[in-house]
Amino acid sequence: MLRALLIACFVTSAAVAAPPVYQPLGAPADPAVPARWNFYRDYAEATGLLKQIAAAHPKLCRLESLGKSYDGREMWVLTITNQANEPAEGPETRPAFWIDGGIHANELQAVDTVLYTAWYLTESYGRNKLITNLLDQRVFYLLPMMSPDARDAHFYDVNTTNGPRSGLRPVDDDQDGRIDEDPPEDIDGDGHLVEMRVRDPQGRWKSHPKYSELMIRAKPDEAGEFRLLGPEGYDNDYDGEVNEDGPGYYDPNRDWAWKWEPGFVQNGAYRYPFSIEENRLVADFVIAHPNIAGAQSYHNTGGMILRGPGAKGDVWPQEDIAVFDRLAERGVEMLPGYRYLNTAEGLYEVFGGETDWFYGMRGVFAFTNELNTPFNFFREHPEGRNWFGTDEERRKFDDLLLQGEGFVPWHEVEHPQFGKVEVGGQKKSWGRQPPSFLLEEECHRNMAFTLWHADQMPQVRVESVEVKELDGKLREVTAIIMNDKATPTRSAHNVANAITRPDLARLTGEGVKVIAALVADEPFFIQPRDVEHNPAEVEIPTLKSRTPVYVRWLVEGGEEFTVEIDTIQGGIDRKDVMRKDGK
Amino acid sequence: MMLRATVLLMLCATAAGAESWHDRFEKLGKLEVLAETAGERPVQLLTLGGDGADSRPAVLIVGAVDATKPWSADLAVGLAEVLAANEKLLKEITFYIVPDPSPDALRRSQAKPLVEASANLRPSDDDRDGRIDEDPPEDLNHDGFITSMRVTDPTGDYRPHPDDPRELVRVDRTKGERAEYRLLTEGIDNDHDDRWNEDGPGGVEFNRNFTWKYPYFKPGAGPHQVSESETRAVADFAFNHRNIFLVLSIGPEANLLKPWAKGKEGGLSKADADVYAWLAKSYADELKVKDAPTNGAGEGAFATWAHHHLGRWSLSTPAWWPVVEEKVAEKKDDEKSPPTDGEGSNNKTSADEKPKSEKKKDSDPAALRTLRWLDKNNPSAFIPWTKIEHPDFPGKTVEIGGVKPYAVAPTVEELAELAAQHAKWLTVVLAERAKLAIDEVKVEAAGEQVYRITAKVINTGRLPTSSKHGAMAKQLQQLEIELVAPKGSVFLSGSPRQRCGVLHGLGGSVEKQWLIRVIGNEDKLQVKVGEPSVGFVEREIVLLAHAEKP
Repeated sequence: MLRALLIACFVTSAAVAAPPVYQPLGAPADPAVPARWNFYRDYAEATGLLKQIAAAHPKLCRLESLGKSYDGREMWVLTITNQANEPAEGPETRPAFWIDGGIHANELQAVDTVLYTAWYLTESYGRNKLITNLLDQRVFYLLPMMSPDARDAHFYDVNTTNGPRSGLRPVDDDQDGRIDEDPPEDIDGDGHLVEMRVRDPQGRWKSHPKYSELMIRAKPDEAGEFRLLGPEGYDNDYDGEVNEDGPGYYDPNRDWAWKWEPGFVQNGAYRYPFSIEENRLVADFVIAHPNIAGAQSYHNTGGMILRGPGAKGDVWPQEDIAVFDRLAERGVEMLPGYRYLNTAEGLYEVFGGETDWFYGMRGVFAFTNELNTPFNFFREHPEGRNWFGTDEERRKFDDLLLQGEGFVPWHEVEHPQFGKVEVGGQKKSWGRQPPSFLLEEECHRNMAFTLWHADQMPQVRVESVEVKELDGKLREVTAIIMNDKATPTRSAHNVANAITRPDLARLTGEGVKVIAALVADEPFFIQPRDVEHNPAEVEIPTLKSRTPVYVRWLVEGGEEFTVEIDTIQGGIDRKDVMRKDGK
Repeated sequence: MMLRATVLLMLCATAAGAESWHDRFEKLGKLEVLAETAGERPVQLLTLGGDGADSRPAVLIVGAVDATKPWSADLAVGLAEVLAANEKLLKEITFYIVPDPSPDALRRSQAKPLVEASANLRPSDDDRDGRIDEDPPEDLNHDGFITSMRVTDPTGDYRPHPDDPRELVRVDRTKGERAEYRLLTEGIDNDHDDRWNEDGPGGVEFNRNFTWKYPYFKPGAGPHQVSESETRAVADFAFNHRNIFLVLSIGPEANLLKPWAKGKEGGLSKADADVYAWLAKSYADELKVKDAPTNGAGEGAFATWAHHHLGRWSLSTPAWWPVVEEKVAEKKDDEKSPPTDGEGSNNKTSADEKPKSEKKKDSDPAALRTLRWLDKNNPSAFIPWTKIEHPDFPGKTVEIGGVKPYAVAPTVEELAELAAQHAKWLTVVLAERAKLAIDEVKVEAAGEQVYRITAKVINTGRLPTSSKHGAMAKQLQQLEIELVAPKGSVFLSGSPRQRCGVLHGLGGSVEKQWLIRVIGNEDKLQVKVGEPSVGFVEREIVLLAHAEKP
């Protein structure tokens, strides 16, 4: 109810306020859709915000659902582009960027970062030149909630910061013929799934000298105070194992078709690629939109910009790695504390990861950002540089900045199997997700990197066309074709496997008869390629960053000529030229 | 004239044909539709086993894995008919039968012109040039069949087979052989890419669309693994039925003829390889296998998936192939049935002029067997090489000829016999399936109301309770033993439910123990063991009657 009221409140306050006297840099102070970025939205709230954004910016936004999740929630996709001057061939000819979040639903801020991006892009159109250009020339497809069922499960069900990573399809994890029969239990009903301990002089654990809630091992020659009993829960099905078959379990980010391996090779893989219906909906959408040339999938945690390959045996062309490197180089500057790594070598081996599929089977340069870094605790690299920081560092941050809110103090409860035990530990809202005051910054910095990547998607251009008169009715039309952006129109991997068709340079014109075409990589046509078949439509394998391609057509007749470069991922451009211009 | 199986199939697979299968099926068991294909055809499933079928160990039979063998769907139906009559067997084992897993592909065996095709009709860019289905074959000689086209060209890769010039064989230039022909399929190069008929209608092949060693970016593989509704339906059905312990498919993977070897990289463990070798031997013995064709590559295939990813015993056989009676070695003297067409026999004469040594060296029994079989059984199915004018090859000699699509097929009578033979073999094999017995339950009274119970479970069948690989693949339910103690009992040691692991065949056993304290007067307990794919057994014990005093 409270949530419903909140949404209603946002809607009514959307009435236009007077412009503020002082505009801070960053997000506008007088947005059409007022939104706060210091809390996390559940599915209904996120849905409400998406609808508000779409309603407030009808000329920029289209909100649609790809279909329903397992539990019946909508798979919202917000398409953002300037619809006013969409190309004649349709918006699908604009280079497009895919952004998603929350495929691992416990990785909360991934969703909010996508929502923030939707809000920021729409609010900044017409105010900020770079954003305006982006929306004039590119399309953004934003799917904030890849696992909407599990997002609400994280909000409303018993969990730690680590769950649920799975979606909610029932799976017999322990293959005993009983499904999801032994979930963890929130014994005291406080909403947090923490640890269990009993006071026991024979136990080998004791309190941390500085942070008494923390359990540390007693030295071999020291007496202990506590015995640890593992995470909150009990053995529901009397098989001797505790919490071994909870809701789920499969990993939606091991369900993608590139280098997919089954569960006994890749833990968490379900039955076959896209056996998770939500992913299948996304894959079908992406396959139907070959103009997608860049992608970002937000995760947490640890502060990483990850590129593939995920599988060690999967070798990607050096040429493509260089493109990833250039894009990420600036990302690391934008995201202090973040490291740029390749998944297989720098993190761990992943078969069937989403962004690997984007690259491997769709020819799309894609990153996975692991949001949240312990660097942000005190703006210095934590000891050991692990993903979470050490227990002590987290407790220190909790003490100094969270006023002790991060931890459920140990307290006594009645356990059905062990009798009186104590439960306590880190709250589910702390560990992987930033606290309120760091969330907005996290959203903005990650978005900035993603927009830089989006801006560097290929954008083709007919740089110039010259017409030269030869003998009789023979003419020579020479065009220079360019792509100024860091990303090529087709990756080397794409070219090698013919994932999308080659780029096409066409010459048309009334009464024009094209009799030959030559292609060269320098203006003198020293060793040109002779286009033997169909010279009016020249196939160009790829247009790399600032690497011009020179096309020379020999034609008979015609007064006006149009040169068009038509690419799948780099857009379309054309230039008209009159014969006299060339004289 | 013999009625060929393809004719029967035509009756079955037409719109009315679905009905006709339905009629035949309905008498046998439960019929359901697993999925509808893109072409709006049903993927049908027949279940033999009546009430409680899903609660018994089961065999999944899939016919026509390769849609260029439409008769293999009929064979699956025939097999179902024989099995349906075996009431004794059906009390113990359920059969799930999918005769035609890819009906859109199989339906192409009735297209005009007729072209042999194993893919469904999803529009596909087979040659990955950005154009979809842009270079189909053409029936240039208007005979209703797409056959082959040979172009006289010394830069080609083919020459006439020295034993039968109707057949073309690849030259081995390292041996000094000279090529005479380019060999292409019948048609023109519609898109002028110097490739002929490389992107015709469709599609995705059922047998290239599975996950094991998926052939990325290859024609017929589809946009990704398990992309088609038919593939997904069959896979999901198999995943959802953990009572299936064995999958039998009719297709190019031929591990019943040449069992999969042990080894790394897609090979098997020795334990599993030994079982497959035994199963293949039983097949060879029962069906008197001769002139067996080679094993399919298995990439993206159904049968390899069923073993490696579904984790079940997976047996596959082409079931039928052309077998020529002995004496073919002396074919030349015996050759009493020359092709009906004069030109074919003329070609034969030219072969006879080749030196004898060369013939021997090049003899390729598999390639020639088909022609010999056709000469004997279906002589009009070879279309003799005949010259045509071809727009793509001005000034060159182009001839069209070859074997008519789908012409190499068993007769209806042969199919009936094959169904009977396969059913008989299957019955023999299934008698050797894993079977559990609770060998002994020992009850020891440790003191007042405290009992130590020991149960021993044994597999009396020859098949292990699962393959070694299946245990790793984790798609089967774990074999589990449960002690149901009198109400209120306390388990002092040993969880009520315990895992048994895999029991090997012919006496593999496991012993499990519990220490319980019985509170109250009840003195009966039960020991239950099993999992859906091997079945369940249980035994009731009266504590006092069995207890041995310490």
